[in-house]
Amino acid sequence: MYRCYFIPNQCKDLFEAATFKTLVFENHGEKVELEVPELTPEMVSHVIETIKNQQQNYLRTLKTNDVIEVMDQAVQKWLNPQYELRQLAEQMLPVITGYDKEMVRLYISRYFRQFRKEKLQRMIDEDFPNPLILDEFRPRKSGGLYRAYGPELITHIFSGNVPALPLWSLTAGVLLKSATFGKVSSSEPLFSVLFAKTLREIDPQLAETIAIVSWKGGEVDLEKLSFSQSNAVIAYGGKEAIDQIKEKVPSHVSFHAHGHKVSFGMLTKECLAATKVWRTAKLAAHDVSWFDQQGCLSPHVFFVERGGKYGPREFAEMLANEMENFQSIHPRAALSEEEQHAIVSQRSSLEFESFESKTMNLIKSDGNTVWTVVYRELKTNNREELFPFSPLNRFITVIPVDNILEIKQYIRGIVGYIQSVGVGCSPQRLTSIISMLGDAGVNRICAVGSMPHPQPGWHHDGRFHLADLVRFCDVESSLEDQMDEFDPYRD
Amino acid sequence: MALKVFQFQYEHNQPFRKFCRKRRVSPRKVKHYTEIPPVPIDAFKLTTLSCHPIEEAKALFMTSGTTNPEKRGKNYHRDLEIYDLSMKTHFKSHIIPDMDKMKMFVLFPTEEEMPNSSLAHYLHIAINTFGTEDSQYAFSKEGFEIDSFIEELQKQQEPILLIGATFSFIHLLDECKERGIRFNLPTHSRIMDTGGSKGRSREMTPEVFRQEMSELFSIPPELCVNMYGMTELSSQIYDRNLLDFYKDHPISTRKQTPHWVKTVIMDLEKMEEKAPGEKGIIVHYDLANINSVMAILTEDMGVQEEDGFYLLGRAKGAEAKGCSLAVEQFIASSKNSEGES
Repeated sequence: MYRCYFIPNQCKDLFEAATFKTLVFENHGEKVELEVPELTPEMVSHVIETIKNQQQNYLRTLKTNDVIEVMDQAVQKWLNPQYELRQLAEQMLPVITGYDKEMVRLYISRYFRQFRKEKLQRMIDEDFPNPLILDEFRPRKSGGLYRAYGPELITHIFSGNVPALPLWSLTAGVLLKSATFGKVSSSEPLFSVLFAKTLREIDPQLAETIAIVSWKGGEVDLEKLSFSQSNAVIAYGGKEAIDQIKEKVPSHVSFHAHGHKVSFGMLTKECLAATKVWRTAKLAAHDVSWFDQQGCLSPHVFFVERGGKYGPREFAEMLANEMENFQSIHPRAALSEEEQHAIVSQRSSLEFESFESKTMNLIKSDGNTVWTVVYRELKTNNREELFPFSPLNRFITVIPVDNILEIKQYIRGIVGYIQSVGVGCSPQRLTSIISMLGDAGVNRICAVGSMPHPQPGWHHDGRFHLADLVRFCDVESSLEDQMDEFDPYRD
Repeated sequence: MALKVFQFQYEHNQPFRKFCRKRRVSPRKVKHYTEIPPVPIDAFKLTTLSCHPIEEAKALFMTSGTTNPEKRGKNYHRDLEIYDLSMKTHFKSHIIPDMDKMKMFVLFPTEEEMPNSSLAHYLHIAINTFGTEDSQYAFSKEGFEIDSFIEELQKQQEPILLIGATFSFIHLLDECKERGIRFNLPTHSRIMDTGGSKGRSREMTPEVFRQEMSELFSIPPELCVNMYGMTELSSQIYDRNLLDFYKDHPISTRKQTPHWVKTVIMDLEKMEEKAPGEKGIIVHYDLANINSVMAILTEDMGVQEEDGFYLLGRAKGAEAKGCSLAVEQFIASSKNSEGES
């Protein structure tokens, strides 16, 4: 039994008397039980008052570099495999999420490397040409002075589909010297709590500005209370959840939503050259299989160009082969009956279709649902044909195209919802491809094989990561110029 | 017997044969009916599953196709001899075990109105075989004649059977609640509903439905039976409570199949039977489904118990973990609304 919440030490007594609810997770033949406190409006307002005070009295007075230093030390601790909280996470996260243990372990290392000192600095430099404005008024190039203020308090509504994902917005808040009121998802409530504990080990004062708790989404009283006390609300979730949250956010509070998105991959014929094709298939299999395709960054479809040494149909076979290899190294999570059913019924529909059509081929793992590759020719100019969404959990469709730029017509239906596109192409093709994708509203274009791993400083959902959150204060040059007139020491 | 039916369907139903071959299953290999690969009900929409040329088919039953009218599941029947026999035998034992005929009120349109509805045919057989002369439909060409039906119900002296779609009962219930009407039906009156409430009326769990019906008509809850049927099957499955009631058995509300239907709760990952008490996807083996395929993979979740199974609802539309799935639903729903406007 692990008590899974984080609050300032000053509020400890209040939570000792709380009633607790147990969340039980079972996977890989193991069981994890987490105890979370049931919150009352009194508890919430007390916690918020505390972290806000602490933000005013302490965190606000730190320099950005001090904060980076604290974050970096925390990240260094997590990069050490012997670190006890990391070991705890490695042991419990696979049971909580069902993901393969080895994949979680690799992911933690890979992920935390994205938050080292120089990456944190990059995150800031990306958004602020002069990072010192986060600490003091600095001259503007156009004259006058300016300074950027982070929100005093940010409420974060975290999602739980990929573990440790909350670190992105958590880091953003701390870097901007904001107090953090985080609501974790009941499907993965652990990671943020552990990371906050690490921050406490390094800077107990800073940790007093953080609270990580949970409640059932839609609890009007608690949400209204925390939103109205915040300067910004960051929420991850589905359209419905986001809409519901949005309704409760008062107009003077800024709202930053990360709704659901889809991703896909595309490969030009050069990637299917005899010496390259296996490597391409391996990279594509990685993108599909990583976190069982649960992230917004995971591809639903690979568009593959004809005319290479190998054709899209052969590529689908190779991809299937590499999916099997990935499965043998990192087995997919066990699925609920609903998820299994989604795969089985989609597979059988395709199968019956393939009896009557030569333009379709279904390749699937034997005797289970662990991976599925569908090769399918889409009819052009057929408005009815929707982008073939995957039921996820390692189910991918390969669609052949004569020219890669043709995909424009297939993605028409999802414009506005495209998150990442993993591209495999030769240098000669780059410009035309990225122009086409940019026009289609794509937020992020990366190399095939890197889809699940965005780089620090990326514009998540096409927005500034940090700059969107701050408030600027401009001091115009008129004042600078005019004040000399009133200088008593003026000669 | 099951293996003979399988052999017949394997030989005469081409898409099904391909389906089996892909799974390396053939009549020579199969030793037990659970080894026959169940066909997902979606297949009835995508392909023609019939052992005889469809021109010879006497009847074609289609699913309502609420989501996509162009893609309706089709079950062809060469003749309805077996269907009707299956229906009568099981209906008798689970709905009117205590008498030969009964006065019926049907809360559903007639067979003439809905020629491709298996339920309309089912009700037609019910009323013709087990209904007394004065039995009647509560539906006319104009739809549910709710006013005259309420009047009629208040006059009844003999036990009656109200039989029809769940959503019609719910409409009646709401109407009566609004008007403050309750009925005092004669002893041994009973109701049988089918189809569930989802999509067609406000939703209600089977437990609440039973309770509400029992109160509305003043009949014991044991005499409310839900029939579980599918266009893709040729047999029906009933709650066993009414039979238990008349046989003085302890009352169970589990669903009971006739002896020519086996219902198995499957683990889809391994394609093997789940232990009793564990939830899984429902698979039916219906020997009466002679012309199409006997093994059907449904979209329903259920749990097997010693004395029958119970339903947990649909497996589709379940909350998915992956965040991009919701986009699909959203885009699909906005497409639909575009089409409507």
